[in-house]
Amino acid sequence: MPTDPVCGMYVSEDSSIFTVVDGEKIYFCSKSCMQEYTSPDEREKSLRYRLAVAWIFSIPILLITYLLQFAYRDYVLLLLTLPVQFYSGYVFYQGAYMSIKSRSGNMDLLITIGTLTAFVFSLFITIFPRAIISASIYYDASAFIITLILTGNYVENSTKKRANRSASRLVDMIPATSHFITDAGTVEDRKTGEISVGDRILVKPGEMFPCDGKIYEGVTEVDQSVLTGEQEPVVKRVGDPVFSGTSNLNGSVRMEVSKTGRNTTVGQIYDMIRKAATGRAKVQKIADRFSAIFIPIVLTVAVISAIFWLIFLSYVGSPYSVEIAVLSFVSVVVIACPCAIGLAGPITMLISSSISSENGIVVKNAGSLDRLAKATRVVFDKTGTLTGSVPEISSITVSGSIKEDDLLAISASLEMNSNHPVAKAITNEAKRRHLILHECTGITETPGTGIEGVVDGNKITLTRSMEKSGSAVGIYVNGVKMGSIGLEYPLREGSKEAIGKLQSMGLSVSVLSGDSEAAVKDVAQILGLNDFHSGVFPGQKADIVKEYQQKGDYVIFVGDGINDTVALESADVGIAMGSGSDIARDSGDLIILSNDLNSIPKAIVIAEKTISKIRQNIFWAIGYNSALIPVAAGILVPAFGLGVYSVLPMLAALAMGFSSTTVVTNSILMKGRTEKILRDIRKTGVKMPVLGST
Amino acid sequence: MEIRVGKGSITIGGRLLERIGKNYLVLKLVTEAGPCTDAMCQVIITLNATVENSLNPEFITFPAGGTYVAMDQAVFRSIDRGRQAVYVKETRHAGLAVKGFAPVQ
Repeated sequence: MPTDPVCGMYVSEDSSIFTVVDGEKIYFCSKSCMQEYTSPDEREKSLRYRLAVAWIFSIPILLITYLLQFAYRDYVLLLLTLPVQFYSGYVFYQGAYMSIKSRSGNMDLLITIGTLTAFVFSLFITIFPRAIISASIYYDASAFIITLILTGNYVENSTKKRANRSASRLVDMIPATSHFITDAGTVEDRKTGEISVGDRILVKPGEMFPCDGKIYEGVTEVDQSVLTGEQEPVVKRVGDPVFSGTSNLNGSVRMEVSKTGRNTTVGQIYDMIRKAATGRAKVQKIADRFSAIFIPIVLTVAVISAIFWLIFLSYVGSPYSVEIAVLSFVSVVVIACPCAIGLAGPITMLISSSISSENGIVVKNAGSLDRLAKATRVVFDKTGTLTGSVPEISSITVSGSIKEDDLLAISASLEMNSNHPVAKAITNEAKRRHLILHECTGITETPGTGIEGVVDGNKITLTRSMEKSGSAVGIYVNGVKMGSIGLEYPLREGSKEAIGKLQSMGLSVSVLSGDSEAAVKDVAQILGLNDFHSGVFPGQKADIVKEYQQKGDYVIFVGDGINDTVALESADVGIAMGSGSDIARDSGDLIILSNDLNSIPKAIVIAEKTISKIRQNIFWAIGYNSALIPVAAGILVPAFGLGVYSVLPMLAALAMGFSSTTVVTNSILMKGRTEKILRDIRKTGVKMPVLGST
Repeated sequence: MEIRVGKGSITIGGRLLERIGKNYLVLKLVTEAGPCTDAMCQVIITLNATVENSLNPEFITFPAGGTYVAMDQAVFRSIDRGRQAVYVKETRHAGLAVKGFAPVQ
């Protein structure tokens, strides 16, 4: 079932409220969510107008209320209040109406009740001044409730923009124009939005790649730090993929576009960061429970408080009983803020996802951060994860009079027709040596055995086998062995360091592989691991993960995003080493774009900080409401006297308006603190704290 | 009675099993808008238990002492991945109460 991208609500596909973006239908639960998505600037403009009108009229209301006395003063104040009440405050009445219609209370209902109570009471006193002896008017309270809450909303939106900036920076850096190469070979500038898949474009030194694609001419170095978090430039040659948002450093290249717009890697990361706000942590259950009973409790406390003051003050003969009862009711309903509770989780998830993306970690499933923070064991797949996915040639042995280069050229001529990783290694080495390859015919490849064909009239057979240290290829020419090529999968740079860091964080680390016991044991010893599984078929990886889980471990499985789908899904958290070519297709809860295994301890730290911050925000928000509602109800009266109620409604509005902003700001602070710890992770040999310790 | 559901479990109160009889205990996620009106605030998701005599064929079922507990994929995933121990029992007013569940992605 589709979800509304603005509020996260499930929406039926029968809904008539939808829009089409890049050929994809996007459904919304309401027209306001659709407007927020399609034209967020309109909503912001509307808020600015309403806020401006509110302040323009509220300031004179305040000045007249406290400084001036003249005939028909009350009617002047009434007239000044009307625009604030019914233009600036209209959006709250709309929300309150929707709330009553759906029979569920919301914040707009509380604000509407609060401000209208103060307004109607004041209107009554204005028209019937002798009806309640000694009663005053409170147009300042009714206007300022709306003004201060709108101000809080405006500040909160600005603060949220800061939180969103990390996500939007990805798409903001895509150049607006691209150098399109026509069929005639000329170059003309076109808007990036007009470039299609299959088009050819020129990217000059110092420019950003506007789309994903493949280089077909030129060589350059590319800064991919926006995707991977790594500053080291990467050399890109003909046939290499390039990604939108990355920086072309020093060479002019021509590329063929493979993805545009939202389908590019940057576009997909941006979408995932935005969707992160719909992720849920288990601790948010407390917030849900609190939210479910929030409105009835607030209204009940407000009514009880009003009744108490009415009865008590009447009993002691105070002339202000009705006035104080009304003011305490207004203060209680206005001070309560469910949004601080409601925002605690989503805003933190959004910021966490941004921090992850800046470190080359794409969070596909924000809800998995909860389990990541609880992890006790990391299980690595060996080939393609701890080691590179393409082997390297470690030795070439020749028999007879044939030269090494000739042997390699023959092998590469045959292997260039295969997609096997060994074939890629041999052809890469031949290219590196600038060897001339020959045409091959009659090619037959047998999985698990090798490949054969005819090169220059000679029958060439290559046999592939696994040995202790890696792969071995035997080369036969017309049935006679002419030599062999040894290949090994080198350990990824930083793998030993990453495993050391995970172990120092208190996690157990295991490795599993389909290779022989001797080969896996070698790798385990180099990495300092005692727990390893060898001879594991692909289908058995998930079973090993489940065994650890049954023993009580929370398991992170780290594997190749395409080939380890079942194991990644079975684990508590699946982390895929993505090639970046199609992160939407890769399995796993998180994808490491940088291929740097040190991203795994970073991801765990980010997860721990995220859950801790959500917990902090929720308890702060609940504490705020629990402490201030009694204040609004009147527990400060014994200390400050009944006079406190002359300002309490406005102070309540101020507190309510800014309570959400403090939650957003507190979440943003997580960025600086987490990045300090992540910088420590980048340093070699720094002992990491054990998870769960202070 | 306790039923294993992936890495989690569901415990059904004794009287409730008798009440279910030959019907199904169906567990479904229910969403409702919370009191926060901010566009970023999430909906409240709770688990609702009902006794029904027919079943959506896409639901996953677990045998439970002569009856069946049925749930959709989202509920199963939450209980399994979250390793949750969920309790379903009758309330004083003959309704059904669910405890121990939290939606997990």
